[in-house]
Amino acid sequence: MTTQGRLSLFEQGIWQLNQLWASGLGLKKPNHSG
Amino acid sequence: MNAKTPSLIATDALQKITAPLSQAWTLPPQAYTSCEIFAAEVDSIFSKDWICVARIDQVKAPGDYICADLPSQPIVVTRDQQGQLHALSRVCLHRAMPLVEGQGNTTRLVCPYHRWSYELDGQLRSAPMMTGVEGFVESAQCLPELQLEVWQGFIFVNLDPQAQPLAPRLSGLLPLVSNYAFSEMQVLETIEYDSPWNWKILVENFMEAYHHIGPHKQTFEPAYPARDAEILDNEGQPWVFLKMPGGHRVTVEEGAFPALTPAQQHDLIAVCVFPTLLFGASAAGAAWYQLEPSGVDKMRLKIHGLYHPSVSGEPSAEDRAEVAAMLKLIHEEDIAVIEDLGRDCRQR
Repeated sequence: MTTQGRLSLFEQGIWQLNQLWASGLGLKKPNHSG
Repeated sequence: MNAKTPSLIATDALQKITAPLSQAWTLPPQAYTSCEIFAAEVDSIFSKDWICVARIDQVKAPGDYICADLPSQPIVVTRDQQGQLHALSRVCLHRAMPLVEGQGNTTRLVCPYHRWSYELDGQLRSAPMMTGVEGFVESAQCLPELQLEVWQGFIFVNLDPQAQPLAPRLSGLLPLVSNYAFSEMQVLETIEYDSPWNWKILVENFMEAYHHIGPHKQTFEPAYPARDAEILDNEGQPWVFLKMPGGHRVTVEEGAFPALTPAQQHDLIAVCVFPTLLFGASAAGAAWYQLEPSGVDKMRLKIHGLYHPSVSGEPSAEDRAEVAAMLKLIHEEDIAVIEDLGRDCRQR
């Protein structure tokens, strides 16, 4: 999986979206912290 | 986790996604290219979450209707003669013909194929030449109706009849946007694109200001620098709020939102109600990005400029042209990079 990229600290919005996406697909439990 | 986990995303890739921000990675490329993952999104996200399909001002009079396409269901939002809103499947119960397209005003939804007609609440009114068909009762036929909820003037629907109400899940977002009075806004102008990339590419792009230093270096970056942007804690709720302070760099004249605080008057904000409602606003005006994904690498995008009738008055043709030109300028700056990103994802 080397084609994943590192997120910068300026991309917290994408990080939050990714948590919602993973939760929505049932890949993880809903997350309540960043 | 559910049984689908191992086949959708590898365990190590998932760990990289869900790590704390300072250790986190992007989604893997297949999240943007896999038909299997898109099918899972349709089943688990687009069929379970609240999806924004219209604005209240687009169906304000009895008889008004507007169509929208969910990934698994073409729908129509109507306002019946009693003023009640409905979100209905717009597929005829007879031969699956779409009943209407676009938007307009009507007394009934009439299938163009065999003239079956439906009331605006979905009830079948008449089906010509069906006399003698055993067991067929017109009054028992009704278009499937979806849950509908209005929040800040945005009309949401949900395919899941058991879905919990949306508003409580947006309670933390409401105070951040309430001064903009989105409930009172109206669509001013709309531009449309058929976009050959995955829906998440645009949502991610909308919700980070880091790229201001790239495609928007001459538009957004001078007023709203990437390094000043701030994401607020959503406490795991289905929204993301991006604040981009303009400070002294933004001169506020007569703003579109008179209720904004002095600090808000200098900010640009971007909001996502997950998965696909995107809207942004500054003191000068607001925009709503309406996404309609139809496949893993295609979606219809409608970008709407919004205005306050009580503040701005009736817009002129010049006003509309100016808003459309600004929306086009910003989106085409994004397209310049998103197109390359989408192409690269498809090649992996």
